[in-house]
Amino acid sequence: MILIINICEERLHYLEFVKLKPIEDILRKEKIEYQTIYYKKITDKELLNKKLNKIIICGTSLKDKEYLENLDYFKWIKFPKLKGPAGSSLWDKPILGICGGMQILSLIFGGVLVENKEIGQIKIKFEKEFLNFKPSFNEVYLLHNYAVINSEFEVFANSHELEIPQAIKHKTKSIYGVLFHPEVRNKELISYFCRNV
Amino acid sequence: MKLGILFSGGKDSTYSAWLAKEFGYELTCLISIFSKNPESYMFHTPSIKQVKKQAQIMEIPLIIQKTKGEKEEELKDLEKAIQKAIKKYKIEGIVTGAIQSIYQSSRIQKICDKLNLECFNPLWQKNEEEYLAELIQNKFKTILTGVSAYPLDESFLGKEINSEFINELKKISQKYKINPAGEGGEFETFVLNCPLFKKEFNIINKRISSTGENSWKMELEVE
Repeated sequence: MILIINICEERLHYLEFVKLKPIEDILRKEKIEYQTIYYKKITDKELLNKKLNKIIICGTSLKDKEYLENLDYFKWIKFPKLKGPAGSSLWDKPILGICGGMQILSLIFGGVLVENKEIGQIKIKFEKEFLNFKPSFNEVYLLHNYAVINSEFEVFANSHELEIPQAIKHKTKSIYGVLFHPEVRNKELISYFCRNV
Repeated sequence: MKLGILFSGGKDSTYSAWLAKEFGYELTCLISIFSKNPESYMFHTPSIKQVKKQAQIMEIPLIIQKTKGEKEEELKDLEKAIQKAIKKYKIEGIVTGAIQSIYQSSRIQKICDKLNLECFNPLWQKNEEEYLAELIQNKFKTILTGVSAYPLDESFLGKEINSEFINELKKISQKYKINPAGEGGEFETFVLNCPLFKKEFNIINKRISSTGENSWKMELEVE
């Protein structure tokens, strides 16, 4: 079961960033079981659900910056409250952060937020294979105000000229982040994460 | 939150407006851009009079902005119209009917960002077939008013989007690779009735004209 975390402050954005083709539709089509929850409502019940095997943190709109003020709600990513097998099993769950979700993952592990507004479709270069993206140029859709820099993560793709990390993975954990929105032009990335990671 | 709807009178902008209302937002005003350029990449070219009637029947004020429809100039005109809506109606966000077009959507995102507005695209990336089925399920009565992709021809003008039409379109889109929701410009629509309207429109007059190779439009008069 995949836990989808919604970080949208405005209810209507749920349709744009979580509900429709964005993420839930992709999983429904692939017949993958999922549960969606607003980030402030996550409790141990969802995190310790025995069926849970992966987590996706979705993005939100340009104007919505609330999640950046509320990073404490994501402490469980780095410090599962529970000790023993339950805590350590949560520790090992693969997580994919999309846009705002990637920012959250990086910041929780001590990353730095840098202003970087990018809107629209651009080509980025994957230096190494990343979630089945072969090393090459790929068209991706961007919609964000900030990028993140964190030496605990390895960078797999940068925006062409600006050297802004667009695809990252934690050096020791199964934690992935993409600053672009794969649900728009690169849906296969989400299917691959859910099926094969 | 008070929202301004980028409104063309077709299914996408009307359905987006309805979704916003269903989610508890206030539809504060409609914003319609009338382009003199029928080839505009940004805007459909609806008939001003009929959009006015739709606005009246929804009891939502309408801001009209005309544009010559030259590429970057029309974006300035759109920005002007949105600024009017901020000033007059204190809107805090914009709703668009964008589904697939990154070209349209990213330009509107940039304007909203500049003007410090929320930008909502409730149909973004929506599955086309599901979308058309939802329209019917939610009692949207929509007809085709423009076609511009082979093998759609003038015989499609005036057809209602119902389950029969969806089946026909499914066959055509598999064979000819057109977008079943029509957002690639394959067809344009006009909403005759929906839950936002106080009553249904009747067509009292129509005029069909050819607008180029494989492209026709139908101008309507409704009451």
